Amino acid sequence: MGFLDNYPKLSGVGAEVDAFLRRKHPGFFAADSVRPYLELKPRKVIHDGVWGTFDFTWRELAILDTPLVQRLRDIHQIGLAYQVYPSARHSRLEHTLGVLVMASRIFDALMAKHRSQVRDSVKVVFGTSTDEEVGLRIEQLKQELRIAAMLHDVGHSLHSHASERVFGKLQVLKEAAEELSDFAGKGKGAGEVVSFCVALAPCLREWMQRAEAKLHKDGTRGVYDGPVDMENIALLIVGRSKHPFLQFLGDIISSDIDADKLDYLLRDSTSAGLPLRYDVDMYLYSVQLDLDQMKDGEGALEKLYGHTGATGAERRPADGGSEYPYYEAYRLCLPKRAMHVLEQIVICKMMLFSYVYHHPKVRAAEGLLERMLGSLVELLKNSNKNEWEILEWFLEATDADLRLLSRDAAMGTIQETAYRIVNRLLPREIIRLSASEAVGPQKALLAAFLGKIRDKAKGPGFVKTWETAMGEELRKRPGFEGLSWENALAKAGIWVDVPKAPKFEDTQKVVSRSNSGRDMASGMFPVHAWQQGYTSYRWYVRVYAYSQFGVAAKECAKATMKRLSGIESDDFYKGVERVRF
Amino acid sequence: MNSSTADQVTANDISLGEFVTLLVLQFDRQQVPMPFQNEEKWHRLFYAFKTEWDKPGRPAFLNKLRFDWDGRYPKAMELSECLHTLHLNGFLSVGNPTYDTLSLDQDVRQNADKVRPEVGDAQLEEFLKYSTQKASGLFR
Repeated sequence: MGFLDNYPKLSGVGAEVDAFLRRKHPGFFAADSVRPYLELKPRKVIHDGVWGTFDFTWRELAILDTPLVQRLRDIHQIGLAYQVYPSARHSRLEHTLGVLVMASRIFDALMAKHRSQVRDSVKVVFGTSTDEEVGLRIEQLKQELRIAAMLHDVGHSLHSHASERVFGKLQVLKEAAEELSDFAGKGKGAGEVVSFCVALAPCLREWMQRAEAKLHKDGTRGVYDGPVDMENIALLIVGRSKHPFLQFLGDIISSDIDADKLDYLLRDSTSAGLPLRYDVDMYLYSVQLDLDQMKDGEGALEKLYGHTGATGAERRPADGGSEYPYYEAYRLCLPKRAMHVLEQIVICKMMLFSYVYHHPKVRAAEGLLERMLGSLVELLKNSNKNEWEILEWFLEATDADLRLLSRDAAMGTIQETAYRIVNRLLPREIIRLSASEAVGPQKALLAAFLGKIRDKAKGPGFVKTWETAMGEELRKRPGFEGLSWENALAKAGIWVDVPKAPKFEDTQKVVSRSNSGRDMASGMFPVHAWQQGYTSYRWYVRVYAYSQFGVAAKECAKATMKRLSGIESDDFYKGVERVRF
Repeated sequence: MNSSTADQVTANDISLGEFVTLLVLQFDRQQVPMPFQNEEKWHRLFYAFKTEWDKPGRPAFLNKLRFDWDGRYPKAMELSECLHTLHLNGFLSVGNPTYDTLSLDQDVRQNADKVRPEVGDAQLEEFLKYSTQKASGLFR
């Protein structure tokens, strides 16, 4: 793994991913593989329902043809949202290709505007001087960017984020994510660990070498066929680059205004049937580079650029102008005149969270799936499967596995839960809590109660305390006697759902300061007003239960919440309970 | 260190959420303005806490608080989430016209004694006082 020598956990996942791919798909990744059989065309065209018709290069097509990326066809981009929005059945593959297209378009837009800065950066980074060499290096960077876009989501498993929340709890991935965060100098999750490791897997490099040997050389004019740097591709996936002057490439893949967002906002809303739009033409017309300071107080970037061997990257010491040491970096940003695009992006995102991602039925389906996958992991552990074997299950799984589990009678309660999800026999909300539900002294108690639930360090423990109390209460009732509190909850389909708050764009960070001065976004962009409205009225902690146990579950939830929160008022509970039962 | 009961927080076991809750209650009492729209000052304050390794009563969670180095200042995502959480829970509000500063919700202020995490550690109390002084200089 070379530049990961000091990151044993990350290297460990990398070695595992490489071994798994070789073992699972020998026709593609084993050392003696004879694929690809036929000569490769230098380019092909692919049609997309959102972005139209685009060219893909032989290298991208070779990666696209592997089971790694093909698997994404069978993973829905927005999990189980199709249970509410029937047409929201688009796949991770469509999104992946869309991100590639948008990343490429952003790159082209930047080149049209900042050709000389990019050329000067390339000269420093690669130590090249002739025009031809510089041109080739720019083509190389574009190709690396496009491959990074293609690989950025290969770490996803069945139903996207719901499964990531489960396999992300595997110790091997948690430790690797810690190391990746140290390595990149910013927080990274389990899915990114897998995508990062795939990009670095030697078997993928070998696959591309074999593909290159099969490239049909006629018609390669205009198609880049020089080398690519897989380490840079891996860095781009986690929003970094080998050199601070090329940081804008990492920003295109992972930042507040990245290609990923441009694609998912439009694709998710279009597929769901929601008429949400932002001005993509204005975005591409306006997007620009700013030379900015990237602070490095703890030396994370110094270490990173040490690993990548970034020549000419100077870590400047803290001085009168900066409290911390820093690197100068080219960053992706939008100018003041494109503020309305940023507003549109934030509104689209809020609407998607409100209508789709946090829809009560979508949360019910995904919560049930998470619990089912958690039980599956326990079952695998009890069958003496180690964490690597469990990770392999997730690396191979697609949405089709849910349906298979729903038919497998040997799986017991896992099968029952899968059957419920597949057939949309979902729990209902019985209690819905948000900050706007209380006034007076109750408001303070509710704020404290919700604060305990949402405390990242202690919240899961507190949620468990509440769930345990509900389970104990339930055991006293007919039909639940003799069950453990966990089994009583499982039978009634009860859990407390605490969705993660949507993270809104950092307007301070993405708006250019070059012409408009510091903090110009403040005061002119009412995102915080919208956010306050959203969070007060559309973001809930919910308690779910199956319909047939709704009345008993609601009584248990209210009685236990009274004890834990200190809120006594009956009017308050009338306000927060859902009345369908 | 004092002996503490199970419900009391100490420098060793206090969470970021509890610490920020205590801070905002104290800031409100001392009339320290709390920036909202631009979080930079909060992050700089907490990064300073993180680097003050030998300060008595310094909460242990600071050792593990991760700062992202990806822009013009160190940014702890957990701290951002925590500030938002207090906002989402109705603990804090931003009723002023420009959304520049946070203020404690009126109902919360009147019932502060009911919602304040109980501190069972004299050194942590000292650190809270020190934090308020430091923030007072930085936030104004």
